[in-house]
Amino acid sequence: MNDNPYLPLKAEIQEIIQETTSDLDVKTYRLKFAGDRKMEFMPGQFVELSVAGTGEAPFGFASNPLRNDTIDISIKRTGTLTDVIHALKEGDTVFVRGPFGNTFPVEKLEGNDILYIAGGIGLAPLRPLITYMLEDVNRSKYKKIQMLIAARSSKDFIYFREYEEWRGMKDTEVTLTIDNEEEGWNENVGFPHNLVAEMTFDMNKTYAVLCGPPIMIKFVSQKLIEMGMSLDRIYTTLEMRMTCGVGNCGKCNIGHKYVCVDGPVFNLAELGEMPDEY
Amino acid sequence: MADPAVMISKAEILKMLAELMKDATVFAPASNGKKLDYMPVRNVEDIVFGDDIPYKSPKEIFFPRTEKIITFKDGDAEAEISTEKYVLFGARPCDLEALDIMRKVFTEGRFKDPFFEERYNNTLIIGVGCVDKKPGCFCDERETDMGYSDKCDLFLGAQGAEDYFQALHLSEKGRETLGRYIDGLRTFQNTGHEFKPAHTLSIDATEEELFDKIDWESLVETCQGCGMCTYICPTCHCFGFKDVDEGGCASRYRNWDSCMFPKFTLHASGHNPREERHERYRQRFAHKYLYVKKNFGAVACTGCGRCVRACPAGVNIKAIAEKIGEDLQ
Repeated sequence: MNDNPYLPLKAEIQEIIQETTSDLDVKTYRLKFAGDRKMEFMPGQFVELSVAGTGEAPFGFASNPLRNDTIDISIKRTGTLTDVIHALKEGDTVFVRGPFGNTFPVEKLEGNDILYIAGGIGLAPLRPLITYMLEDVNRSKYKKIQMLIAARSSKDFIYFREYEEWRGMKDTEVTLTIDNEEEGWNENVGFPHNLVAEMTFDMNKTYAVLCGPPIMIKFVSQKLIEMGMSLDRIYTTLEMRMTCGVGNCGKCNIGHKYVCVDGPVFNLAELGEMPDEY
Repeated sequence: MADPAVMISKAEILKMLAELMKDATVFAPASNGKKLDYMPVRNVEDIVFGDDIPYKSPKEIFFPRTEKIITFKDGDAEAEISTEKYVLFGARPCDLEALDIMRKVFTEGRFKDPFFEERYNNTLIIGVGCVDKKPGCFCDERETDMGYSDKCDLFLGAQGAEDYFQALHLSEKGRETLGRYIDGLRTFQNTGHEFKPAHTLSIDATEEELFDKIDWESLVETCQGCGMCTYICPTCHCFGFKDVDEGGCASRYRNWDSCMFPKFTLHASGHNPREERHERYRQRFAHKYLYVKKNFGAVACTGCGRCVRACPAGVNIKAIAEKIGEDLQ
């Protein structure tokens, strides 16, 4: 990052990947920085992405931090800025500030089984961690990796094309689930917290990493705690209006913490000490 | 207090300010037509001396209510760092202490804010002591000495006999300014002065206690959520960005925002972490009395009393702090 944390870098949209096929509302933007610059980041961090003249908003990195010739940002169309971004084409320019925020504790997680539970676009901020762990140089540091990926329907999964590759890796399981029965769907149906109850894992040797709708995080956390997992073994990443990214604008302030610099990654023990304002 | 201290007359101060005006914008207490305010003055005769406190704090000199921070030119982004030279004359101790808290927030956190820092570094700050507390002031209870603050380049004690002020230089910039513009400095023996705060108004509680043990809803039921307190407060510093397309050239502005507004924390999804007005007031209060103290070592309320005087609904942060103190007993 340059000395001025508010000054964005110019990046070109190299590729746009349509993720969801139901209402086409999630796209992944593969960005390349001008002048072949690279942005060093770690899993869990985020950027402030903007379209000049429209505005800026925080988005999590969604790509492998060890392969940062380009970065991926997955964006769901939800408001003014994301409407404009969704209308952009390959070759168009965006501006990016970052990286901001803390990271998933990749070293602390070493030597453990990892249980990922993601709902909808909640898989996006976990993808850097998943792909980081699945890299050859890192894979042996982590034991069994289980992923429970949930979506509203079979057409709402993101990174669907990668699941087969992940499934083909040693000690790696991918379980998919959708909300309602669909013709031709041979995998699970039902909410993630119900499926978690049927999964087996060693409570003392597993870290759970969750991201998804608040309601999913709430129910899955409750289930994991009921099953005996300790609060400091359950990680999630918070979403707040991190406008400045540097801990000053006040919008992501919860208690004395700022999600943009102290987070967005917290475990449930840490969250328990914070006021319930997220 | 720092030595050496000198005596300078009002006439010498005016002469010095007139000289400084030649290559800097001088902000000083002056009438804005309705109220006394820190105004950019072009004529030293417009400067109002005396013990009245300006209606607003001088924070916007360093952190303007709206400022262009980025220009998108020729497809690239450029930062708009101010190089303007400023003089702030007549800042009260409460404002100086508050400005120092804002300086810590903007420059001693994990990132430096270059827009604030440059303005701060390019400003000569001349403070002046208060003689009396004004209605709403509670500086002494907030451990602010109304007679003195060292958070400036030059400090003038309250006006003495025959229009003379005791002047103390507190930085190299202050020393150099005195030496350059004032002839034949008359030094005096600075004996300092004692400051004993009244009972100290602070909150010794955990975040959890402040959330769980206080009935915020009834405590601030008259609050209208107008945000006046945040705009007028010398330490409030919430902001947002706004991009504007200015005839084919886009610019990014930073504007004051307020934690008292419901949209301040509203997510794109529609979820709002602080939906209720009393939750937002609690945020403002807890941020000042707990969070900034925890993060930067100082309570972000210097007792200037501005929010007390300005609130259209009579919400009084001092009374609220006292009530909270009682409720936590």
